[in-house]
Amino acid sequence: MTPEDRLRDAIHDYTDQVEPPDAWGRIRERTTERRHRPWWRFAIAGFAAVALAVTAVALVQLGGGDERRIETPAGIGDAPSQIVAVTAAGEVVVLDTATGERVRELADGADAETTLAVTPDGRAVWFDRPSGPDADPPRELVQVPTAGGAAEREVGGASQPAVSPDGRLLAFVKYSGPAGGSLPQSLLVVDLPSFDGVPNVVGGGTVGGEAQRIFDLWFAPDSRRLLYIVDEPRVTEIGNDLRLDQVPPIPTRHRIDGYLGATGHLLGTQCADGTDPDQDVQAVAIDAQSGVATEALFRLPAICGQERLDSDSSGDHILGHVSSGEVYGWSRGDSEPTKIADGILAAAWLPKSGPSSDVGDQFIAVPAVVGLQVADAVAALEAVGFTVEVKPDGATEGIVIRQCPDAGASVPPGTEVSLAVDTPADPEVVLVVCADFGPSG
Amino acid sequence: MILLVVTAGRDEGVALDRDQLLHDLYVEHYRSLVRLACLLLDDRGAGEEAAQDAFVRLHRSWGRLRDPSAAPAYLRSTVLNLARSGLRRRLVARRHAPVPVGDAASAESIVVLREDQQDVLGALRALPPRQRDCLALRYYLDLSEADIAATLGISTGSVKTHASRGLAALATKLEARS
Repeated sequence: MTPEDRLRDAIHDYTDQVEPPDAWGRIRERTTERRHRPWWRFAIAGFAAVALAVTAVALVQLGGGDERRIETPAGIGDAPSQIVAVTAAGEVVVLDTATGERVRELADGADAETTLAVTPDGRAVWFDRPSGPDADPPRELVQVPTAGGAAEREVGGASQPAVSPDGRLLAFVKYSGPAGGSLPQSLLVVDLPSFDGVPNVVGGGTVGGEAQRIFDLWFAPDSRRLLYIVDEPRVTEIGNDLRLDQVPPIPTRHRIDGYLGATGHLLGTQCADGTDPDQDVQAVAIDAQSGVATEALFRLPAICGQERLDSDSSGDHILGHVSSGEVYGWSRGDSEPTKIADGILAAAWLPKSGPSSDVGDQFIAVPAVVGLQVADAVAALEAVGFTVEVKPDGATEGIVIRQCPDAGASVPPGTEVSLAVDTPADPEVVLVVCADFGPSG
Repeated sequence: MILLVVTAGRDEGVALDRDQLLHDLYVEHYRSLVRLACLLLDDRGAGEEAAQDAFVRLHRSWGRLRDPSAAPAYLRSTVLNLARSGLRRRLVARRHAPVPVGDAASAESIVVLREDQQDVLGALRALPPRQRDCLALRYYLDLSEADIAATLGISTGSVKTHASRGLAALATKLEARS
């Protein structure tokens, strides 16, 4: 019997035995419910609208008659104009939020479980993807520049990347054992600028216990603490070498999606109508200490519990991704979220300081060359338009041990990249100091 | 006022059509969608839940459906999405909002398979999602490459690639076990 025949045989023997009971009544009930909402739901909506109006009035008064505040409630800045998204075909792409159109493709091989972590300067995105059909451990991390170009860094056997708001740290889950993330897992935090795939661990710990697995991971706004989900959300200080399952959980009934930007509140969701899973999802701000929702933000048309949210750094703009593949954008002041695109498996904001359409042609990402032979490093840099300075002067042999600007920095083509080379012929101490190339604005 | 009455009447008519079409789709596809979801999730309750969710979502999204003939692909696609994300999020979602499923018997208790068949389905479920979906749609629903492509929102070339890679990976796994 061929594998195809065996597969067909097993599938049909299995499915022939599944005989679901009639469910039309249940479906009908769920669909008509929405057309005939009881009066008290309108009353609640009305109350919420009044509460929002009162908040708006208070803000205007606090603003002391500032005209701009009246036009733009609560002083909201513009939403980022681009997002990073995973398409149904597994491509990682940049999309325009106004048109939903694809701006550029960054990588492929991602899937519905991919976590996207965009650096705060918008220059690079870390994501995880399957390593291959039979790879063990099964997932790997990849860093690609958002301006386009080859992958800059890869880490095997790892998933769930998170980048700190100050851009200095990368956290991820490293599989210590084989096969689908078998236990135990380690949560590692590394120094991002110098990270070259070998973890120079800043902090972390292991998670143990049967059936425990880290589902999600975010940095707190202070970049010094980590929020992670095992079966309950927990917060731990970075640098503590402790068993993560000993960290007390945050007592909350909400599904958590990280932090509401720099506000210090958590961002989460609840079923819009209490415990009814058939209704829309309500996005809420949650007090990080008590786990209690303090503010209703907006509703998403999603099957409750299947949605994912991502806040920008201000906490004023939120992306909502639902399991049927639609991505919505919402900004404070909006009455409801706006659909950006569909056919999407995962999405995250691309901060505005990242390469926008008008500067995308002017800045390119510096390739990672640390660890290469100097001749290969020079060739790689010159191939994409950089000039190269080698220290000690003119060394032609040896391994690159430091580069400036760092890998992934977005700089104009033609920029001089300095390389420090560990050369056997000239063992003098070489000092390469990185100037502040800074974000392009 | 007259205009309002007319508009309301038309809405009601549209709603009736929609309900009738949804019922026709239910009669034709509900059972196979439950079976598809059960096959991927190996969980009877979750499979029924995913199929019901797909119909409710279709009902909500009806206005956005440009072509009613695309409804079966929309249903299949939603079931696959729910099955895929369900695997990862089920734990959290269940705790968050327990779903009443009536008959909560697991698939294991109702489906009896030979050991070698269980191996085959275990290997299928362990494939990367896109390969798994392509194989399930081809070998369970006997869909054409074009229909699989429409369901998954990918090109027919990608369907061929995913299916052949999935089948090759499956064969390797089964060989290693035997």
